Amino acid sequence: MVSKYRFIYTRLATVLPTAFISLTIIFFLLEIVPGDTADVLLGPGANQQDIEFLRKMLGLDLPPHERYLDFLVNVVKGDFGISLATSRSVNKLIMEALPVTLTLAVSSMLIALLIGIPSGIISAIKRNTRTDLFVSFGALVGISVPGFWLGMLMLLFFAVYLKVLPGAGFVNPFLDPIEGIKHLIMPSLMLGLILAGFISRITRSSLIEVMLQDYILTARAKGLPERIIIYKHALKNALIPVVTVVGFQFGALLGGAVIAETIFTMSGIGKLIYSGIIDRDFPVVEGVAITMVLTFILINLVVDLVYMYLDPRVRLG
Amino acid sequence: MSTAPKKLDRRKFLYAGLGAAIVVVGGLAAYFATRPPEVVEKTVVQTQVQTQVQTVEKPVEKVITQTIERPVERTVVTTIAGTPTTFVETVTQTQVQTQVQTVKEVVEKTVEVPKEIQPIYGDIFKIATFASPSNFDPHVAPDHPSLMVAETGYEYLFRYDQAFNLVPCLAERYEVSGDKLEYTLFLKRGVLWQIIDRELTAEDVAYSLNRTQEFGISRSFFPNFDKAEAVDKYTVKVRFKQPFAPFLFVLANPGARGNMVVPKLSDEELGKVGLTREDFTKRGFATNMVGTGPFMITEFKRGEFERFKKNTKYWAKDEKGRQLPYLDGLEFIPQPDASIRAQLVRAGTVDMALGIDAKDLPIIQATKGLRTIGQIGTYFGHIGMNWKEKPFSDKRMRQAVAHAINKEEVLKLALAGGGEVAWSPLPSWNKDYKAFKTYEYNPEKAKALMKEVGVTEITGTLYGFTISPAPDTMKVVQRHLADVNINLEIRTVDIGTYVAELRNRDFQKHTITMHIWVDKVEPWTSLGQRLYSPGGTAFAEGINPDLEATGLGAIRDGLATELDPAKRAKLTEDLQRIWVEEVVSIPLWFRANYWAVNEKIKNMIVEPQTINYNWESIWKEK
Repeated sequence: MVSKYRFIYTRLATVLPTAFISLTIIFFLLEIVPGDTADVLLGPGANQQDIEFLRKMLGLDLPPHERYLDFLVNVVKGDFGISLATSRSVNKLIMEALPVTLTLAVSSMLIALLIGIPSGIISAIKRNTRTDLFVSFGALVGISVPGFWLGMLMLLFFAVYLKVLPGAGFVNPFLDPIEGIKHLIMPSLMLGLILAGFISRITRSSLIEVMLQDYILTARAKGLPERIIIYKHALKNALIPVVTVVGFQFGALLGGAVIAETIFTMSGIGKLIYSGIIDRDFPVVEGVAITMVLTFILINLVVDLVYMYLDPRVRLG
Repeated sequence: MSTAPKKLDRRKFLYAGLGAAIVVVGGLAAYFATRPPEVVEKTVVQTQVQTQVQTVEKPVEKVITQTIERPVERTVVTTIAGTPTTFVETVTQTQVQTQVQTVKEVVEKTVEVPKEIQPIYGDIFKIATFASPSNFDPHVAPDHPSLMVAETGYEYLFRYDQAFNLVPCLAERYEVSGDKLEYTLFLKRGVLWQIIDRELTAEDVAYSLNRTQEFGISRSFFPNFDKAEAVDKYTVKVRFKQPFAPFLFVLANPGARGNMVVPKLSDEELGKVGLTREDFTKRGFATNMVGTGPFMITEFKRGEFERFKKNTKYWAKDEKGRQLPYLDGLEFIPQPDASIRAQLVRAGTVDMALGIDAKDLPIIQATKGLRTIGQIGTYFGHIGMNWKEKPFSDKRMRQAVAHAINKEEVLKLALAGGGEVAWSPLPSWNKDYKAFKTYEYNPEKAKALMKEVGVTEITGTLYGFTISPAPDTMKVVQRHLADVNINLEIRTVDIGTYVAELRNRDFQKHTITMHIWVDKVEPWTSLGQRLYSPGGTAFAEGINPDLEATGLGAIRDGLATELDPAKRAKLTEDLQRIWVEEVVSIPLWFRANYWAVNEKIKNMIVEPQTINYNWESIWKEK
């Protein structure tokens, strides 16, 4: 059996090789893709001379291995370099985008959990009833609805027709709570409702499975109230797969909320890496990718620790 | 009494309640989401008038009577002492003459004059744009959003008016030497730089022009540039190695890079701007704007906003002597999706949205308080063929393709009619435009030409990029060409890959290439310069090894050096004619630009390149 702390140290030790392998793969993948930042910035009508000069100015005329080594040296120093497309520090760009994405991810996940887990529990308890059917249908709709469509619909309804919510931008809710929350409602709902569908389905199936276990039967035989059986004995165990899904989804939200960020004009991590790929801006892509790799590793670590809390029988090794 | 029926009742009640709530909420959502836009009666707004007593010169017919007295000699015969005697006497004859004359008389008249509109100071103008600027250095910034945003803070030496005539801006006037190699620019006095608070001098302008040679992407707009030097505090001499006729137009052209004036900063001034010499050497003005323009940048967040406040020390005043700008500030909100931009202006989140799709116009026009502005722009869609390979090395085959495409239908289906059919590589608003309807839609003629060449069927690829409206255009073209047995498979790639393939000449492997470029106002920068660029080479140098033989090369050189406007117009006409006749490429359309604007925004003037706006004189009604 491995102690909790040793497990944490071991996990953290995997960060370096994982990050190194990731950035190496990403760098050479970007090298394979035709076109570079100069091509994208100057566009299809550009003059040949202009393109050549811009490539030289951005250092794109250097051989790939030289650029890669330069980049590695900078990363070791904690500096992701300068964005080729914007001439701005990549560290600064990430630090600007991260709070937006974190706020959006947390608020979306809260909505997803607040809707998904209770609805999943209701659905499991009322299994094969009309309530179950109704909740399952809702969850299915949540899973099936395309995010961009839901976002556009909300924009039309709340911003254009009702004019009650702002249609664009991000305001830090810690600096201006009212405006911050108003700006967060639509994107968080858009992401949260879709996630709630997933969580509801997982909670339902997991809880149904647990409710069929012998220890639940024993608890019932002991005459325990159904409420205690569900919330004290069954739910904790049923939440293990839910935590796994939540962990992955949270990680995905941190890197992939690009549609919500685009529709609601928020400059988060998703949009940053998307524009980095389109602009062939490799320092930005690498910087964001490493940030995401680290985030995923940390989230997985947290998920494993939560397993231990939920089910002490789970041992890490 | 059993409790089961009660439970059942409650459940039923719950279901009924939930069902009703779903129906109501769903119904409301469907109603609001799908209801047709409220059609607002558009009334013609009458100009407000007021009466005013004015003195005017009025033509009045007057009867003028004049009495003319003149001496008249008459012969008098009399008898003096029985002898008849004749003598001449002079008498005064009085004559009355009457004539009608029209004279101008000053009279007082009550006239109706348009009520003077008082611009309102204050407020922030919010604009939804396509994307965030990549760079705030106007000599480095290559993309449209960067140039547009840079214009709020930086200024040109000259500008275009709405008729594309050169008007002074930071330079008051100019002189050209006899050998056409030297331009002397006389600067406006009393223009202050933002932040550093010192006057614009000839040293700054000379530095700025010389800096264009430092950055290659500006350099191509100033060929054969030698150097610029300050003669005195307000006079700059610019010398070329060879005459460069479009120089002044390039200085004013919003799409040309390197023509906005930046300051020559001392170390102390760099400190004021918040830069070190090392930072500045690395990044220039990439993140710090220091211009003479009407607005100063205050805050920006890539992908979210760029905010500007008014420059209170701006030099320009309006025609009544009022200080410009009227607005307190500008805010640009980047939103890449045209439909979302349209919704943002409808929601009131922004006052203006750029680049509205033609299909979204009815909904904007039906929204109370909004108006649309439309103008044929500079976005030019055309297709080119691989001249190096048979069968397109034969001109008749290229003509056949031109005849096979129904341009009207391409415009209607691919652009929802938002634009004009192109019959030349220049848009119709260009003063040198000439339409050459040489190859109109005629599939039978296309087939006949193919038969003459000995081709019955062609298979290959139609290549282009993914940015709208290229893919839709390609689909329509594909269908038209299939009608004459030219069967092409569409291949679209992202913009980076596309430009790289152009640069590497990889486009040669494709049968036909769809291309879009952004035109300029001046013919050399628009057509001449592009002939040898990747954009142009796709259809000229790269594909056509006989470019010089067509005479296009000579025309391009002529446009670079010829100063006489009449001769330039002739060269431009020849260029368009050869382009079309030789089928260098097949012009398809010029796309219209549409803006959705809140009616409270007043005095806004737009230009076809959508870069240059009259930010300083726009105001917003309360």
